[in-house]
Amino acid sequence: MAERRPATQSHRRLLLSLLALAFIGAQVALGIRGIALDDNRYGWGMFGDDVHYRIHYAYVRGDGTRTPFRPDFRGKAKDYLGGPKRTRYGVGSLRTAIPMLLRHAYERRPSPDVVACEAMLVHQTNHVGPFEHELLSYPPRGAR
Amino acid sequence: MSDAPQPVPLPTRLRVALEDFLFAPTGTRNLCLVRVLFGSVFVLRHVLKGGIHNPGAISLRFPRHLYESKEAYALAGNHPSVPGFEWLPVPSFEVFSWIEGAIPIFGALFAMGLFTRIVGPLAALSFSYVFLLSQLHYWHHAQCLAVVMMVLAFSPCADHYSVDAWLLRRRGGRPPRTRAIFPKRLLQITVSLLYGFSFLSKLNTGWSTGLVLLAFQADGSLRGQVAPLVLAFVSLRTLSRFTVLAEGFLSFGLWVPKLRKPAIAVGVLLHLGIDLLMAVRTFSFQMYVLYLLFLDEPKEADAAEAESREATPRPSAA
Repeated sequence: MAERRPATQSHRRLLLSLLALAFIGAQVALGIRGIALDDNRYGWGMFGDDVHYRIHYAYVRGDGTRTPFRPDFRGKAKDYLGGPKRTRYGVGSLRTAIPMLLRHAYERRPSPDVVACEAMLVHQTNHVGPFEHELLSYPPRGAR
Repeated sequence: MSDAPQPVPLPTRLRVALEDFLFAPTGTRNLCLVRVLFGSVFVLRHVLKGGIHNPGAISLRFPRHLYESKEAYALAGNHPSVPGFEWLPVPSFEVFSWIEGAIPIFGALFAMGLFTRIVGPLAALSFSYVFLLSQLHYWHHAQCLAVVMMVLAFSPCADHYSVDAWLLRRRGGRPPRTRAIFPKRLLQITVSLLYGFSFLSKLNTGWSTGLVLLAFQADGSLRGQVAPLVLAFVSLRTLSRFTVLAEGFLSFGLWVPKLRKPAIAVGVLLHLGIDLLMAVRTFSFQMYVLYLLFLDEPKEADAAEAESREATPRPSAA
């Protein structure tokens, strides 16, 4: 005959089982996200590639002209998103980080005719092949 | 009418298996040992400069700040927040420095097992707060610290080897002999997922050909003092393939009793290799400590003997 447990213990176990499911599910979801987006952070992917990159920032004005600018970087932000640099977190980590930074710059844009902030990301993987160019923007191009 | 036992329905069998997997009673000595050692690594992470790749340059510094000056405090200017955590309040430089100073103190008390129920959550939450303030604060070892400390902080990891347990015994109490295996399972699964996703992220041409390590070498990242010696005997391609296979093996090998010892040996070799070749500080120590969670608990008789030894008052020096 099955042993009956007090209801409170059953409820506690159910809650803990759900907690375990959430804990494992979150880690698996972040791991899959990391692989799908080539962003090794937060999902246990480690050192998938060695990516060299540099970033050029520009304000986009209403008439379509672009003015290069340099965000007010400090400390680690300067190291990471300023000059030429490498990352082992995957190109996707830059695709995630840079738009957050562009939003910050856009919210502090110098004049109202700035309609977007853009970053040209130039990167190469493992010192092999050509440098690739990607344009990142805030607000995203389709949303302007 | 047949006397044969009725087959147990599959959902019931699954539920029982799941309950057994998550809640089976077990001793907590290994978990408590992990608290002591992982808590010590947590403290070390906040005070250690340098690593065993260059033993001569190792130094301790308290508090060791992420931002050395107000001018360098990235959170005051442009920094990418962590998606989903933009709502976290960004403290002033002074408050941030104060938090950084408090974290290793909480960690030290946690490792000692003094007021564990309070300082454990404080250490885990304050560290996680700093970790989630900015994408600039991401490191793999920091994520591992945050996740493991969060589980340990809310687990019965002070039943043994702690000041709290000693105080309890002095008052005539004693912790339960067994507890649910739940926190240990969460940590074991984390270790497997860590190695599993690390393995999957390396299934590419860069790792199968050794190009990634070649790029590391070109960047000057393989700068351990023994690196030239190691690389004289082992090619980068071999090291590269060993790394990928080792991580894949560790993701399941630690669970299989017959493979456990070889898996631990491979893990130690892998992390020792990384530590000797690259500028890594505490990640390997974290992993060595977490291997303890896969070892069998001390046998009941040994545990009882150890408990009676702990409970016996020592003769005073006077």
